[in-house]
Amino acid sequence: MNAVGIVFSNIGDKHVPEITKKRIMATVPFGGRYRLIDFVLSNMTNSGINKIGIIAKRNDQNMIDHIGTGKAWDLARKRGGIRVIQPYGDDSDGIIPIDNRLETLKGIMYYLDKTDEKYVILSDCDMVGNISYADLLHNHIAQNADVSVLYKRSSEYVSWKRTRTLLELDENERIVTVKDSSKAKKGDALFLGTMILQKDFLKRHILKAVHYGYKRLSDYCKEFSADITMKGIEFKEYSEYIDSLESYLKCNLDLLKLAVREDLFRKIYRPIYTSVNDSAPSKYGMNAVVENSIIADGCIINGTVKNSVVFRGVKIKSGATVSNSIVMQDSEIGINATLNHIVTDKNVIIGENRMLCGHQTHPFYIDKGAII
Amino acid sequence: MFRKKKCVAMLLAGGQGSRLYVLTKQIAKPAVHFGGKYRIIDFTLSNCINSGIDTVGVLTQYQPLELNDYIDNGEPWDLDRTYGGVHILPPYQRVHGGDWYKGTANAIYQNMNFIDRYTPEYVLILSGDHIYKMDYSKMLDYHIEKNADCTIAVLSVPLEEASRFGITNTYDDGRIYEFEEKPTEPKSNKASMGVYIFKKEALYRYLIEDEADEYSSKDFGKNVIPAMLQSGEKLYAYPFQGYWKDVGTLQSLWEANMDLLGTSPKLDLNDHKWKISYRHYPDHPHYIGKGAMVADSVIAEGCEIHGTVVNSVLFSGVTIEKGAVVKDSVVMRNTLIKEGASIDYSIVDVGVQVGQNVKIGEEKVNEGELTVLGSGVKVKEDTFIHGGEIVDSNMYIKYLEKPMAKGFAITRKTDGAIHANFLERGVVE
Repeated sequence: MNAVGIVFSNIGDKHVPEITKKRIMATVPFGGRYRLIDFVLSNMTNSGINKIGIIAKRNDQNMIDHIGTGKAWDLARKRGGIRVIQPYGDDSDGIIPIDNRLETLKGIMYYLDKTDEKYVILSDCDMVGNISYADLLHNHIAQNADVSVLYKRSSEYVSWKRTRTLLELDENERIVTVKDSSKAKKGDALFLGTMILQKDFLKRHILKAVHYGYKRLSDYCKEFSADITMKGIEFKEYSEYIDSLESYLKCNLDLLKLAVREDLFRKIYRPIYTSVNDSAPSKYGMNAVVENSIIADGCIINGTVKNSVVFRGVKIKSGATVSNSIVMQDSEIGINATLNHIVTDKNVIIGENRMLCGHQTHPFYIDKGAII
Repeated sequence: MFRKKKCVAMLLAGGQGSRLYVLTKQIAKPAVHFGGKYRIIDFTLSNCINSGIDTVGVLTQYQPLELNDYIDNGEPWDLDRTYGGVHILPPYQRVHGGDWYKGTANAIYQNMNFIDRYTPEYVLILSGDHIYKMDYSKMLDYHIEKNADCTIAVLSVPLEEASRFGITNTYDDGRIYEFEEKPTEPKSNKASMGVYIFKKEALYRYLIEDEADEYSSKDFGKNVIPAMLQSGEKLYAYPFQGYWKDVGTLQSLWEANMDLLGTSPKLDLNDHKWKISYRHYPDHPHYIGKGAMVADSVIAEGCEIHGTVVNSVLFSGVTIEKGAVVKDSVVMRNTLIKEGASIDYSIVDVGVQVGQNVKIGEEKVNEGELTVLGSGVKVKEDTFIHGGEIVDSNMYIKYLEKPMAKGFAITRKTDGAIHANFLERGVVE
């Protein structure tokens, strides 16, 4: 595919402050064995993009470990492959504000200059979805647009803790307005953090936009909408933004629906890859009770698990009950402990007979490595 | 980086494993699936890398396609090395013609040029069809300490089973004075595990000698070891303690899978100090549905469980629909078991489809016999498959296999009543 992928690994870091305290958005664990960046990397490799630059600005050791050589995504290449790129800043201290996407893009111009690909696909890491970028590029070319952005139609009235970007489109799918909103009506178009455009166009306009002091590509495009054709491409399969602990819990628990698993993980030719660690398959004891749950490899389950997502290497001791919760890698739930609406980070140890409870809209989060 | 290797491993992986019947119809025995995520050869390859041996020659002959594919560049076992690493060694043509591997010793003989590239002092001979976790470096230390020409790893087996193995009779210091292949009256219970370390010179000497003997069956246990003993070479037995299982028969393969179950399993794969590596498939974590029941089982990724699973091992990508019951069974990759079907005491190979309300096998508690469905079999709804039957994807054979302890009495029956109309040839993944 004649496109290079640019992944913003930091955007949205502040949105789930609990989980991103010690990691960036890209490495937020998801769905039992994945990290959020796995989706965009897998989408790209499945779409035939084999040159990917991941922009990392801080706290990226986790991500560098996770990506390794890129082998898990078949992107350990001599030609192309995954590169972690650091944006250069113009200021004397060289620091670029994390959320300033345009400045960041200007800072990685050196990377884009080296590539021969005609198109650039820009994506964030705070979205879960199995997207064919090949279809996206095809649409982009067919629509004869300067910039194409991916959006989905809201299926119902929803409100969020944080604002998300809504688009208004005319009958030709041309974007008329871009606005931030904390709620959406049924049928509203919600921006999905993915854009496609020509590399030369991007380079030309980035410099201009930075010069005028814009912070968002969409603001710039709005201002110059007469000169720029910005079109939307609707994405009809499952996708979800993660911009709060609540939406994180909800999105994880969405995996308990078969339709969501089909959309995300069971697509022929479009699997989601992740780095692997040779864990043994999970083991269930004689008295295990598991209902409506996702369980990853390497777990030892002797207790009760209901409506939950359990990551790799978790031990659930006998008599323990985990419901409506997310238990991250290598955590241990003690004998007769009870968890409800809890998000535990990695390596958490919950002692015997502990009783922890959150609520659907206010899940209770337990820090990495905590012992309770 | 370009230094000589102290020890090179040669892994014999050419065996057909004919006693696994349909399971090895399309694949070599070392490529047979095991334990939810593994293949048999993963154990030997992981043992090698965990023991610090990074040069492994894999000798293939029977149905090598899937095995070659699986091993590929050896990356899952960290055996993708610039110098050394894993190498597939099939038989090949020479100026004066070529030949198949005629026996274990001949296979190594034909690949002496491979060993020579690394100029090792020691050669480790392994077989790719055993399930065990073993530190070969300790055995190598023992071999060096004893200044042995050959060291054979031995395992204490119950004396009544000893006649199934190659038995070493040793002095107190471990030196072997006699090696008996499957003796009727065993003098000791030290069974050879098929793991040998040779001094390279000694190995070469006896391989060349053995090759010249046209009456030899070119086998380590039958020819090379007895010849070395006869000439008074120093052979030692290295006592190994721990789990070891020859999965050469359907019954023992089933048993080895069952050894993963229980609170303190005989074979622990969750051992972080001795990880068994394997090639991964991109499957999502498995899902256990409402109304599902899972007890005392091992379940791999990508499964969708809506029925009941008891005392079983499920490989990745297995779907078990509502009301289906799997008990005391091993179900391999991408198998679909539809509503209301029941599977008892069976091995189900990859890509099998079991229709609604099918009943397969007999309960183990009722002295039922192991039932096997070969890869790609499709069983139509409401079919009944008796215990002890072996079903293949394009023909129907009935074998009865008695449990190993009673010997290998195999009787063959064909059943005219059930025929191919129940079974369609499926597409094997």
